[in-house]
Amino acid sequence: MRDWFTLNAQVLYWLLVAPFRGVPVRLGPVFEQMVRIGVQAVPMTALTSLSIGITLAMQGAHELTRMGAASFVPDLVAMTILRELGPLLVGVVVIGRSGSAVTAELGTMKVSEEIEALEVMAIDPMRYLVLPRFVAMLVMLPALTVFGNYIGMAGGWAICHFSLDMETASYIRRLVESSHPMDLYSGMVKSVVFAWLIITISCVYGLGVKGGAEGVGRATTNSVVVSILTMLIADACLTAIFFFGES
Amino acid sequence: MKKLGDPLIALSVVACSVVLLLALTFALQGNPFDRPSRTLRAEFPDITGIQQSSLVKYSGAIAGNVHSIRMLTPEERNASPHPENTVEIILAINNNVPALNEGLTASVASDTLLSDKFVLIAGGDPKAAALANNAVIGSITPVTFDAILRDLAGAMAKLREIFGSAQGGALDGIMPKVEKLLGDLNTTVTQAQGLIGNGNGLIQNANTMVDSGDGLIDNAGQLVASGRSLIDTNKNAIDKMIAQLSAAADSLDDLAQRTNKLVKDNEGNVSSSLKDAKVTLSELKAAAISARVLADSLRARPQQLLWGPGHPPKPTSN
Repeated sequence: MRDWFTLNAQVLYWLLVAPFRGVPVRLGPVFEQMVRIGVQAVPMTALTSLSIGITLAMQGAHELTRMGAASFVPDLVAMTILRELGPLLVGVVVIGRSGSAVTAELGTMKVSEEIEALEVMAIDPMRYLVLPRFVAMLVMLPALTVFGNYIGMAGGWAICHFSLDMETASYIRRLVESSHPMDLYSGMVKSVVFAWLIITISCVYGLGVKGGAEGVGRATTNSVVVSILTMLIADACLTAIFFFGES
Repeated sequence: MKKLGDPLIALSVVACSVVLLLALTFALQGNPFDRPSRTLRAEFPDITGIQQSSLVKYSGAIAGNVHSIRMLTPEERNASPHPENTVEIILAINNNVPALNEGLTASVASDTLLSDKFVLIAGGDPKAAALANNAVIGSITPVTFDAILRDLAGAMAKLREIFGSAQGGALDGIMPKVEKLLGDLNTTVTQAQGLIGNGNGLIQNANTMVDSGDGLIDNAGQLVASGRSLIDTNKNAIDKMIAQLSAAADSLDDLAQRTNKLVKDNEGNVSSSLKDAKVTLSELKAAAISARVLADSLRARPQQLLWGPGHPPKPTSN
C-alpha cells in the first residue's frame, strides 16, 4: 500500500509539477503506449461490449415481454451499459490484456536489472517507464469505454430490431429519453477512476517483482486479481456516491 | 515511420471517441450552447419520482427539465397560502417554448405506471399576461397509488373505530333490532321464493309456447321447402307457360288494337247506316200504325174489302 501511495505521488509530480520546471512529459512513449494499451484493445473491447449488449437485450426481452413491457428493453440496455457494464467490462478487458502486460513488462525489466541501470544513468524510471503508461491508460480507457457504450447499445438494437420488430428510430428515441446525462457522466468518471487504479496497481506490482521469472508470473497474477477486486469495490463506492448519495 | 504512425493512430482513436462522447452528451443533455434562460417555480407537497434533470412537459411536449429541488423552510411554509407544500422545484424552460401565460398549473405525471415521472405543466390563459421569469405557478397535488393506499388506510382506521365503539354496550340495544330485521328479511325471502316459483311457471309456459312455435315454424319450413322443391321440379313447365301466357297477352293486345282500328275506320259508315236505320224504323212504325188502323177498321167492317173504306178514321198517336 505504501508503494502504491509513493508511486501515485511520484507520478503526479512528474505529470503536474515537473512540466512547469522545464521537464515535460515525453509524448513519444505516451503515444506508443496509447496504441499498445488502447488501440490494440479495440477489437476485444468491441466484441465484449457487443456480446454484453446482445445478452442484456435478450435477457431483458425474455422477462419484459412476459409483462408486456418489451418496449422497455432499450431503457434497460442503455442504463446498464452507460452506468455499469460499459466501464466495468472494458476495465476487465484492459486489466486482462494491458494491465497484466504492464506488470509483466516492468517485472521483467526489474528482474533483469534494467530499472537499476536506468537509475544508474540518472534516468527516473517513474518518468521514463510509468508516466507514459499512466497517461496512456488515463486517456485510452475512457475512450474505449465510449466505443464500448456505442457497440453495446448497437448489440441491444440488433435484438430489439430483428427479434422484437422495434423500429430503429423508436429504439434510439427510447434510448435517449430513458437515459439521463448523469448516467453517461457517472460511467465516464468510473472509467477514469478504473484507469487510474488499474495502471497504478499494475505498475506497483511490476516494479515490486522479486525472485526472477517465477516472481514475474506471481506478480502478474496478483496484479490482475487485485486490480479486478479494487475496481469492483471502487465501482460499488462510486455507484453509491452517484446514485445513492442523496437518498 | 513507427514514430509518426503511433501518434496518428492514437490521436485518431482519441478524436473519434471524443466526437462520439460529445454526440452522446448532446443527445442526452440537449444542445449545450442553448441553455434555458427562463425558469418557473412550483411548490408541491410530494414530488416522489422527480429528481434533478427530470423532464418538464408542456401539455405533453418536452419543454425543459427540472433545474433544482429545494425544501421549503417552516417560515416559508407558514407564510405560504398553501402550508401543505413542502418542496419547491425550479423548472428550466427551453428557449423554443413560447411565452407562457398566467393560469398555468404544474403536476407530477408519468406516461405509464412504469415510466419515469415528469413535471407536467398545462393550461394558461392566452389572453392573460405572460409569466415573469422565475414566477411561481400553481400546482396540483398528484394522486399516486401510495396516496390512495394512505387514504384507504385512514378510512379503514375510522371503520375500525366505529366497530370498536359499537362493541362496548351499544351493541345490546342494536341486537333485538337486528333480530327483528332478520325475521322480516326471512319473510321477504319466503315471499320472494313464491314469486320466483310463479315466475318459474310462467317461464315454463313460455317455454311450451316457444316449443309449439318451434313446431309451427318447422312445418312452415317444410312447406316452404316442399314449395321450393315443386317449383324446382316444374320450373321448365312454368317458364314455358309464362312464355305462352306472354305470347297470348301479346296476341290479345294485337287483336284489341285491330278491333279498335276497325271501329274507328267504320265509325262514319256505321253512323250513316244508323241514321238510315232510324228513318227506316220511323217509316216502319208509321206503316205499322197504319196497318193496325187498317186491321181495326177491317175487323170492325170487313165489307170494306168489297165496298171501300168510306171515311177512314184518323190515325191515333199509339
